Amino acid sequence: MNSSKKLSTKDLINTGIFTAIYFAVMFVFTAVTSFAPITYILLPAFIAILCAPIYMLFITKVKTFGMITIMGVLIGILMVFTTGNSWIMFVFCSLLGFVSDLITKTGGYTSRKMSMIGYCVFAIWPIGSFFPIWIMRDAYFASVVASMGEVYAQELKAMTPYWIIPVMIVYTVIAAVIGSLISGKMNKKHFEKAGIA
Amino acid sequence: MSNLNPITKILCILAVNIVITFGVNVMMELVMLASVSALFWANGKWKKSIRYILIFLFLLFGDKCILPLISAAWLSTLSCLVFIAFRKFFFCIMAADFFISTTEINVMIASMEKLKIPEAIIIPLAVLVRFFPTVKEEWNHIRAAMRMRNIGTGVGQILLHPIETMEYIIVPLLFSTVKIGEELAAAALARGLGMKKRRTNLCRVSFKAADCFVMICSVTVVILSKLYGGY
Repeated sequence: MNSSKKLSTKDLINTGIFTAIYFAVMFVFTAVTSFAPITYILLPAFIAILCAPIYMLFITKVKTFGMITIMGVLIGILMVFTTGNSWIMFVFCSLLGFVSDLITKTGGYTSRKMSMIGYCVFAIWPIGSFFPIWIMRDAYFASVVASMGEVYAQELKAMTPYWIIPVMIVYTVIAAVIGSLISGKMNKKHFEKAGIA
Repeated sequence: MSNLNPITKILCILAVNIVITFGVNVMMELVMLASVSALFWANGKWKKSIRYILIFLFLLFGDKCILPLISAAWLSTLSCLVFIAFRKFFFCIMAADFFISTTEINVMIASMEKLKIPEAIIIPLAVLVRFFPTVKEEWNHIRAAMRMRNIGTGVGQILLHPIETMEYIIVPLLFSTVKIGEELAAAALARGLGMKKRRTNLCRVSFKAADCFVMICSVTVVILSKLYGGY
């Protein structure tokens, strides 16, 4: 694999297309399922499973460093400008895309194992949208105190602990592994036979 | 005033973002509601701004009047999330909606080229925005085909057979979109997208008095919120 060459225009177009499918599927699913707080908290894991086939098919088209990074950057841009996340989301997505690109590159963009590890890193990005809740915690609880009183705010604070983010990362990574196993089977069953993988 | 520079709009979104991370009191929230609504009005989006104002008033009403009445712990946790936490993100969503509903894609590309953003970002972004309607169309076709074969696509089906449903939807979606994508790439290359030379653009993006005015306003709002917005 000639993985050191520059990005061609076709690579860029492919990146745009797969990001569009990825984002559209993610967006529809989020809109359908985020009616309850519990599904909202589990959402990163669902997305990790659901979008795995799209990501894995994308990887088969990737031969140059930078495409996964750009995918991360684009998702970051979309999340900030279409769904109103904070700029933290943009930085987080770009960073994850870059790290995942580096990991996948060590496998020459062909190793299944490296793509899987890369996907586990990439799939963490939806958790970025929960960061502001923790960063703006003081502002949030200040307004809770303003309308509900100090005692109540303390109780609520105990119910939304800091450690929930590492827990979310753990189950998202597990979901990403499951997702990439399923998509590996799907690739064999459909795409390789048809010659588009 | 109807055509603000996209860069100005992006700065507005950033300003809203910064204000939100400072933490805002109700006074400041009202100031922000008024300023973003004014932007909507200036672009003739009356209906949208009224809808946002109503949602905001409902959230504020819930916070001040309904919350103190709720006694069950789980219910009040939930309504705290809705009335208070969601109200914090409300302005980000509103500003983002303003950006999307008033910006055409070619104007955005023209201004991005002016900003010297690398092609590696501009090309995929343009393709992506162009591709969303295609994905939607294909998705509708797939659903129609599934309905014809009596395969449900409802929430119940997704819950009962999650993996099968996912396979039935995503596999054909990927097949058709990959093929369309290849055609799109060929068409774009034929129009000289991969050329080394600088491409020209019909859109004129300029920086007008209105842009200056909006920028000064957003900076003022940011400073005001830093000074008086906190608790």
